Amino acid sequence: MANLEVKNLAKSYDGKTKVLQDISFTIENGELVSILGPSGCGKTTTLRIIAGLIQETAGQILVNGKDITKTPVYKRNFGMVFQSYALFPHLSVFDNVAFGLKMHKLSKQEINEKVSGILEMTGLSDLASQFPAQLSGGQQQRVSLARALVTNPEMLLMDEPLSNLDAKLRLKMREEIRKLQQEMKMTVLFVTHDQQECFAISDKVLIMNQGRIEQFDRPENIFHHPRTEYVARFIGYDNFIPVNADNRQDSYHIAVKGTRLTTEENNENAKVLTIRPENIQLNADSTENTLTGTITGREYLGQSFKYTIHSELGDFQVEEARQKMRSSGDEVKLTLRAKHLHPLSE
Amino acid sequence: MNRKTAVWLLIPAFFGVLVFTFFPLIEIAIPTFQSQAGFFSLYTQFLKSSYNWTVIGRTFLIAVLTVIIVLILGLPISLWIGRQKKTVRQVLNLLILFPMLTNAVVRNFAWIIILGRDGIINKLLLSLHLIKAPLNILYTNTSIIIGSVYLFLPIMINTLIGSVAELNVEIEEAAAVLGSSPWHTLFKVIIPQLATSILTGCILVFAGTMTAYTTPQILGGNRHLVMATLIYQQAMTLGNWQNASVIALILIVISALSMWLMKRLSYRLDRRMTNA
Amino acid sequence: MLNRKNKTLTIISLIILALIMLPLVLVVITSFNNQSSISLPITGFTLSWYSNIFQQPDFITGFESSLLVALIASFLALIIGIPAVYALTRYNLQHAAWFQSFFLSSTLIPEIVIGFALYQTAVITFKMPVFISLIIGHFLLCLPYVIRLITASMLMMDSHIEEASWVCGCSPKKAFFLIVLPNIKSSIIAAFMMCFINSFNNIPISLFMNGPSLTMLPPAILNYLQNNYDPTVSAISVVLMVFTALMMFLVEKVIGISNITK
Repeated sequence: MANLEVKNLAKSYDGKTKVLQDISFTIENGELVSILGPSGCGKTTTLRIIAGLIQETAGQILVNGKDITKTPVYKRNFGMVFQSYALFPHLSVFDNVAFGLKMHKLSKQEINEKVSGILEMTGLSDLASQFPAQLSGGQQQRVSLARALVTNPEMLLMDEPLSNLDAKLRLKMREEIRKLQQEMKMTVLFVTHDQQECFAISDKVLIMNQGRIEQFDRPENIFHHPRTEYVARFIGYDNFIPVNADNRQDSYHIAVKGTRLTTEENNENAKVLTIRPENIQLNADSTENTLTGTITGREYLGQSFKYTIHSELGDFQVEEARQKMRSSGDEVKLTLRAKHLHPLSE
Repeated sequence: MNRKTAVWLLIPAFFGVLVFTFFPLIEIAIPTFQSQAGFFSLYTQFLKSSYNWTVIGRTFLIAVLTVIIVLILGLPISLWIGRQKKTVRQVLNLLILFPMLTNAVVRNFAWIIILGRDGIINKLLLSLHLIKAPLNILYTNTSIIIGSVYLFLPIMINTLIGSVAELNVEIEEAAAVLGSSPWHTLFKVIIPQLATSILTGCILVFAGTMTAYTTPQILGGNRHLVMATLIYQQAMTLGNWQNASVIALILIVISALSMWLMKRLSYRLDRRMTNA
Repeated sequence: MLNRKNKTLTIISLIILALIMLPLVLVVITSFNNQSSISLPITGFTLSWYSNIFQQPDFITGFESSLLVALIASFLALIIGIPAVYALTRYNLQHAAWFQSFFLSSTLIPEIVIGFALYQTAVITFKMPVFISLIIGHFLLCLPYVIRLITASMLMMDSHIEEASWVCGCSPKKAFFLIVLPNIKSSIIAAFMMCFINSFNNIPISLFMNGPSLTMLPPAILNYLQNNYDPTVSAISVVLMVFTALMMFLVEKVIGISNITK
């Protein structure tokens, strides 16, 4: 397996609308990197350009330092798992998996050995003579994975591979993929719109929006330190307090309508402060960053309640794990701990 | 992918159609406009003849009546077949498909046996003493219409069955719950939903009947010419190529125009259905 | 409700169904009649009209040339049509819709006019052999079936399958034969069947080019029917019906007949 370097990738179909701009990132050997974003953000386009299925408008793709930008798709030696699995309907499981090996002109014996090996590894040995239409979704997924891995590809590209599975199977498959990836030390690029899935299996996450990279970092860093308001919103920071010249006092304080908020991080370039709903405490025994508000709405989430609270700083979303319900109209005290209050510059 | 490859893949089909469909049409069209009496003189001359108008009128009348009869016969049986269980439907489909794929000469010939002077209908009526002398049904406009209906009914049924099978029965149930009688449901709920396929079927039948040669040739005889048989007669029997070309072009214009009109209508219906 | 259990609807439908089948049944019955003119009811049983088919040289040579023309024209339509459809469905061309209707445009032109124009231009003006001109005419008849049926199945096919084969190391050219063709196999068979039957049965296009030098079967039957009125026509009709039924049976066995009407 290899490392992948993407440099200043750009794509436009009509010369005007930019589908991708300035996409640069590196995947180290043996890393699993996810591209996360809503549909239409350009994540699949990025993956398909790397695969060679779409022509880029500008930029470079390097594998192990070698420029493959002009290499046609069928000479890149990547493995790819499609959202629809894209198994060849007219070929048996065995022949589906053997297809790539035949293309690489391996001997019959080698093909037999390699296919049997990978089928065993993916638990498909008994299904070798079946046809794709006879398989369940999970089995098709495995065949598609086996087909992608059998040629020893430079790296594995996965385009929303789990989105056609039911919730339970999705969890199981993602564990299997992660396990397989770590055992084989595969370099994987994984495209998904599911935040939980992506954080669970990735070494690094690349969050995209409108054809640009919003943030590229380890999952825990993204979770605790979103770089932009977009990322923060995407991963569940529901509360935003605008920062501007009028309310910013100094690098660590802002004041809005008599409420003074302290941050641990420097807020010099901040445009907005953000905090997760579960990090706001209600009626806590503290005077740190405290304001008052009235409950205007309530949702029961099972483990907790989610309240909408109106305050002088606007509406706040607060998640409280306490099973005792608060009522609409109740006046509450909100505590926004400084360590949870992140200033964002974009 | 490479655009150049695409162009190479398209070229044979493109030139095949261009050279062998459009070029010959232009070839036969040009002389019809080169008369010394003026650009359109051959056409005005042709349209001055009341005989020619009779032929055009007959062609049109036969096509219109055929469409109406085919629709009246095709709708109920399509409803019935389309709502059968899948296995039954497939068998019935085969029964409809078989005549569709059988040679038109055979299918028209069958009606000679039925409609002829010695045919079944005459024999039956004579033996029942309902008539004294055999009726002349064969070689009339009626026999052409009967033959055309027989020829095109399977096409209409085949066009309708698919959309009938796709109808959501719950819509009719909703109508029934709201107090709609089956009769009312048929006209106000079912037929409007089938409007697009009905029009498609009508276009196919209309264009087919307008331009058909075999049926009027076999069942119409020499005294009941339509435009298609007139073209053949002018060209091959009378050797009047120019006149044949004139009729050919008029036939293209009339059938293309009617199809275009019906397609416009079905497009509007389509939009209504998808917007709703 | 107007469902399959509605009595009125069932009765009406059965009557119409009988009207569709009955004429063909009558043809079959008359073909066995021992009288020298076609009539019903039959007075005796004979197979002599069937043997009479083989006494008609026009029927024999007509069958041969119709078969040959239908086969060649259908193959030609497939070989030229499939690449065109592939280009239109896979390359995101700007004027794909325009090309599509261009290829289907011959359906807008009356067959008799196509036959007439082709005869005048190809045979009379350019002195092309009648056989070649006939094949061209029948090719034009077949092409729309290929375009329609193959386009439908290309659009149904998951285009990712092809991409998956490229990623596996298969060049697009190879993928066309290894992946695309096998997956549209049934629509190719369906298109071939529609082309073949329609070409074999066609009269208007063959009509003008049919003559002493080359006889096609349907015009030959038409000709016979206009000059003689004996059950030989019934007999050859039955042969043609059996021929059609056999083809339908074959296609049903291979791909399921419902595929060809979509």
